[in-house]
Amino acid sequence: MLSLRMLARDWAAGELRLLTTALALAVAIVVGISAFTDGLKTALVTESNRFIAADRVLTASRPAPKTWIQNAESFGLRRGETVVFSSMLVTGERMQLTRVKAVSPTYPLRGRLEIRKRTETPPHTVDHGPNPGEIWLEARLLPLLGLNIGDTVEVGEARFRVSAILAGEPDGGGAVLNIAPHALIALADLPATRVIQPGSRVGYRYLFAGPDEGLSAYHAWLKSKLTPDYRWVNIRETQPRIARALDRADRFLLLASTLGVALAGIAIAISARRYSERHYDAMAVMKCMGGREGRLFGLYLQQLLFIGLLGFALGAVLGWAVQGALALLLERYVSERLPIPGLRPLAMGGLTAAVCLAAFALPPLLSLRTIPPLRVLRRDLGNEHRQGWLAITAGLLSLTMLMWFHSRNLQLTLSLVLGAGVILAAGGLAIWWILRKARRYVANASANTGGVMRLALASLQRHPLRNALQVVMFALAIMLLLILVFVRTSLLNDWQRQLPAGTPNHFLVNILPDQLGDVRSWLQGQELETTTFYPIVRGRLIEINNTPIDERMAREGRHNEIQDRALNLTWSKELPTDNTIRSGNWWARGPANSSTEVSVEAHLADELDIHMGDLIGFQIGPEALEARVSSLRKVEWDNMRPNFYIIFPPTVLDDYAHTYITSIHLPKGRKDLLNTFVQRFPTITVIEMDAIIAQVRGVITQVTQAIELVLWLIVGCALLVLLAGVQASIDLRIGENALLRALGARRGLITGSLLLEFATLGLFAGGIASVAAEIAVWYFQQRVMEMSYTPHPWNWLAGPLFGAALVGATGYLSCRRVVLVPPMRLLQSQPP
Amino acid sequence: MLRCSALEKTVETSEGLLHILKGITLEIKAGDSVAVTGASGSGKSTLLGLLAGLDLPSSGQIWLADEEITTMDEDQRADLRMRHVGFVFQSFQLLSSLTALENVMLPLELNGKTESREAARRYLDRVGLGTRLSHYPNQLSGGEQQRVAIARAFANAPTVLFADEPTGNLDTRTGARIIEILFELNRESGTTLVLVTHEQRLAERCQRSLELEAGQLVSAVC
Repeated sequence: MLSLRMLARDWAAGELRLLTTALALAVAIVVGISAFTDGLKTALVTESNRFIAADRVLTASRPAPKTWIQNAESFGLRRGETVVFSSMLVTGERMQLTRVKAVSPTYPLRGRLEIRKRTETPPHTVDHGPNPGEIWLEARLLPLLGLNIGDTVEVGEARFRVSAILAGEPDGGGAVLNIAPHALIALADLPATRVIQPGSRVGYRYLFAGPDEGLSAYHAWLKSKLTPDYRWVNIRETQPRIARALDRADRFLLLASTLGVALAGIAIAISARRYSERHYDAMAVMKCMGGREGRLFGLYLQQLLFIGLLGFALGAVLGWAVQGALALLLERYVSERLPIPGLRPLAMGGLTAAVCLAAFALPPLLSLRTIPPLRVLRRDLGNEHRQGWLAITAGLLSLTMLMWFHSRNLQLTLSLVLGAGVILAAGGLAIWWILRKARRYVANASANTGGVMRLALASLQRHPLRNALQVVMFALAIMLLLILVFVRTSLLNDWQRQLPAGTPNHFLVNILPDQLGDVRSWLQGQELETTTFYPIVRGRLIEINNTPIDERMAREGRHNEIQDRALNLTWSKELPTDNTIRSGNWWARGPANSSTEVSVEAHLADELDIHMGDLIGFQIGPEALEARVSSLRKVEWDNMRPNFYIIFPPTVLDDYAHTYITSIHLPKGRKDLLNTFVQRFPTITVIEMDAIIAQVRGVITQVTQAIELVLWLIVGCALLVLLAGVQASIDLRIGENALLRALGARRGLITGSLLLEFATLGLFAGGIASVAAEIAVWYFQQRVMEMSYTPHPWNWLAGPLFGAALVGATGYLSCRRVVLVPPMRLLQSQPP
Repeated sequence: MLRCSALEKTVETSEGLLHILKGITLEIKAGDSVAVTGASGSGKSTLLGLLAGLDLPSSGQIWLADEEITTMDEDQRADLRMRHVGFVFQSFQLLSSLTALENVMLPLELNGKTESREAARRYLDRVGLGTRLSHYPNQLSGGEQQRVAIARAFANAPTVLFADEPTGNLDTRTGARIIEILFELNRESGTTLVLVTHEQRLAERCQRSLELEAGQLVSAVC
């Protein structure tokens, strides 16, 4: 096959390496990143789903129809069920309000239960809940009720044997502020207790686990049937920290792959243009020999197809390897193995390769069609680049489409393309103007400068348009690289800030007022840092502006879980750490003069349609309390400190029964202190968050490494663009410099002037890129990553210097042939 | 074999219309060797390009191998060139990414001939480059490159060979050797030769010589 033979010859001559490498890198980035993000999301979500004991949960305040739940099996889903209610546990004279969870034999679908058979033995994991007739109690219930393992306890009308101490529930960690102690029974025993009566406040949770498609299909089927009483819950709602980290990592990786593909596309366009220019003569000669235009162009198209296949194959292998390396990085922290990626990433890689070739490589190749055979006699024919505008338009359009396809964000894509386009065009024009104007000064300057400077200046001003275009190209590559580096740095800093060392990792809940002093001094004695001790008064939010909340919500056809449960109300003189006032004012220092003020968490206010100045009614025990909203607060819920929806000024709640909550940081090596604490204060609940924090930290660390690895791939792409950009003018430079060497210029002079020339181009490019990147990052962080923007003042100096170093080195390395090879051979190799 | 009538070539320039060729009429018989001579800018190369079907005249007609090429489109002319025409250029026009052997194979491959490698080897042997098959153009001297170009021109067994200043880039001695090879192969294969040159020595080797001056045929020496 002639086209294959031509391809082999061009390959041997090194004509196609850059084009193929750029294509392979584009495919590798797309395959690698999409395979990895697909796998990462699946694995981490599965891992995180341990915290809701399932992949999805349907919560309800009344039982869901059995047919709904049973139908989940036809979607290939496993299911489980829990019913949570508050009930008095009674043994002889003693009784204790307890949060009882009745669980089906399949519970938990994700994660494990932990129990102890005796108080002093370490906990061990089990796959399912208690057997019928048995009850597992949280450790503090035993002293409260004076029970031992093997004793019996009554729940409603049924009697249960205490068979184990409940040490951990997969879905227990999130419920930080469920103050009541926990107990677990089998769902089969629930009817016998007769505790659930009409009007009882009961939480029904239907658990589902299975493949994503099944879950989505089941949800789609179920959605239309769900009334506001039901909520479909996934990990994003229950583990916002992991969800946010994943979201941002995902967006970063999408941005990276978008920019990577854009860079590779530019490298493909430049190298294809150079390839086609270098084949003008060949085309003319072959036409001269009788080759028909269509057939000859067909040969080039076939070559392009082979290059596409080769680039795709190489890229797919490289992408798979990248995905494997990224997966390896994560393996230590994700107990679920990353699933083997499906065919989607390969399909996306294939599509990217096809689009890149069609959009970036084909338009320059089209100019080959119109090369007249007469070019063999007149070499000036065919150099007009009639397809120039077509190529640029097609390239820009396709670049936009590709970026849109990868970023899935039209606004981001258009802003990036238009913004970068305007800035780069303006920068390019400015450089062109400077270089043109420089002509006048070069003659004067030359007289006073050394040979190196004179040569470099002369070369720069000799081709102002070509050099300005090169500056734009280099600026584009450097800009995309800078954007990615800035966003990555901000992302990592943001993650670091989220979980600084010493983040509280244990909550102490249910501290009675008379224990407060003892607990404080015990903690101080152990030199443990605590956050503030917040009082908690349990109360229900029942009215807004004298209208019952149930009525208000029903009128709007909405429902909120706040309606079904008591809230933890607190009071505080100071605005708690990580709370910011969105509107209104925090109460003034000193004794509160307006006892009816209340501060409401902003998100809850939005959900319940509460505004500044609204009058809110609470039910605290048998009493009612009204307060006017004086501020709305934004709260960092996942800062591992006690956080509250509702805060009163001091003294308002003084007379209500209250307990205290705090959080402490317990260093890893001092975990055994917990046992001493629990023995010393058996009625205080300790909620351990260290496992979750460790997991979040682990995931973030590894995702960070993944991001670094991806960044290197993008650096590779940017270097390819620089290389392609340098090579676009290399023939001319080699020709000119070979002539200079032939005329007696020394190697040092040529090397110095080349370095200086490229470094100057890089300096200009770095300057333009810094401006463009700063604007782009400002936009991207505000609009896409939802992060605060921090300027990068060092960039204004570092950008141009980085550009000068990078372009100078790339240019020198690409052109060093001119000083290493005898000038005779260089001149011979130049086209006549 | 080759004739043209009232051939005109005009191009637009910034200074108005430029008449490159004016009313050229000539006929070249099969097997003839004809030199087209003239000063630089007299229109020699333009005439060669038109006769070979590489370009179209502004007016007039051209027949090559009894087919009128002035009414043909580019593809039809390409077919005709493939069947009948060979070229040798002043600047050799070898493809730099191909070896000497591959350069000679190219027209045969384009023509769909199966034994292209063997035929190309034979022609390179014939021009004395049998030992330089795998050399790239930049590894060959000017004379050697032109010999590869001659081998390539004859490899497809053309009926007409157009040569544009074939010795223009070569020293006298090498040029003489190239002329020898060119005429030897021409004789052996009975090809019609149309040769553009300003070298009197080379023109004298041809059976006929046509002289151009300012785009007009001023003399035909037989």
